[in-house]
Amino acid sequence: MARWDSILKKKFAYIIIGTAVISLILGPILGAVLNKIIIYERKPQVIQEDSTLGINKAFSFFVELEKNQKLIVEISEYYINCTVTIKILSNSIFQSASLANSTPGSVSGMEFVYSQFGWGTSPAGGTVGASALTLPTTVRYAYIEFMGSRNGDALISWPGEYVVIVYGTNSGGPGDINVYFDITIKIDGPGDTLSDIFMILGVFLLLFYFIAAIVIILKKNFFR
Amino acid sequence: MGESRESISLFERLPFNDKEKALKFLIYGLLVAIIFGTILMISKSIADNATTWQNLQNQQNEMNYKQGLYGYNDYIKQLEKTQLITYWMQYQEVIVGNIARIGVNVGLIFMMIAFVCFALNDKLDERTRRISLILAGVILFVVMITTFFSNIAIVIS
Repeated sequence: MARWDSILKKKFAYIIIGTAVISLILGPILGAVLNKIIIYERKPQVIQEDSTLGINKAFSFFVELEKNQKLIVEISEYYINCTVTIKILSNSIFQSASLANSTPGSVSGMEFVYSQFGWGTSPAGGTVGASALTLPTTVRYAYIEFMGSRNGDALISWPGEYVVIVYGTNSGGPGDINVYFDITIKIDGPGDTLSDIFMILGVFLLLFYFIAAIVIILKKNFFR
Repeated sequence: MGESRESISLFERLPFNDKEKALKFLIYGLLVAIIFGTILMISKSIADNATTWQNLQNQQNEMNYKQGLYGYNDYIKQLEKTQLITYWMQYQEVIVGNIARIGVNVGLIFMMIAFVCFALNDKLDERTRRISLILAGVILFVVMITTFFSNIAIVIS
């Protein structure tokens, strides 16, 4: 009993309640900060026109996705005379295309969805499925979500290794061989899980302390 | 042997002739009943307002999507998460409510014991003892009614 009495001591109360409050504050903060992790960002990213002739000259970025993990690519094309196409390939297809240095246009991309944000459109109405996207022909900016496959606008998780490729042309003069575009690649981080763990810990600690304190007070005063 | 001594001592320790200790029982019982009663009401309020909270979250979610903070599949995920939390907000009333009911009843039993002790205390005047007995009876009645009948409620609006 004496050992349990120490729960009511000021120092112990500060530690328990303090930890609970810190957990409840940290949960949402960590959730927001670690929700998405930027793994690559370049503004502008430069490739050459010959990226359309062989996949080895195209921009490529390797990503490994776990179950239920999402890949997000934000790509925009605002540069003069530049046109780029983005595809996401499975690593095996990319490797075989790379060995043969196939033209990126001849390689089939995997299914993803991209969103066009606006206040006038509903979320479902602003989302389009595709296996390749050309900028700025189709859109100037795209927020691409990818998990392996899709059913309509909803993604299906296929864990595995994937490669994001971008190739393009510059329609300027003969000397203009550089193709510019902005790209940010993100993946789902542990934010959601951490947020849930911290919130549950905080609530559990507060409940535990409250119940323990009531039981000890009653026991101390009436049942001894 | 130890157990029987403990159970006898528990009864013997009831403050039949100790006004101070009976008052302590009354105050602690009142406090416990108020704390658990408040928890019960908060829990009920959370459950009753779960749908309002859900509407608020869904509107925020849609606005976040429209601002381009996240994509369609994160929007769907957030909808599902909000729905799950709404269900939990409604279901917690069952868990917290039942625990709180036990707490309220324990508090009321403490109060009833205190009034019974006042009624049995021959050092107090006749009138006080009679009122205490009536109050103990009323509390016992409330405890019994709320324990055995769940459909009886007093609505104050």
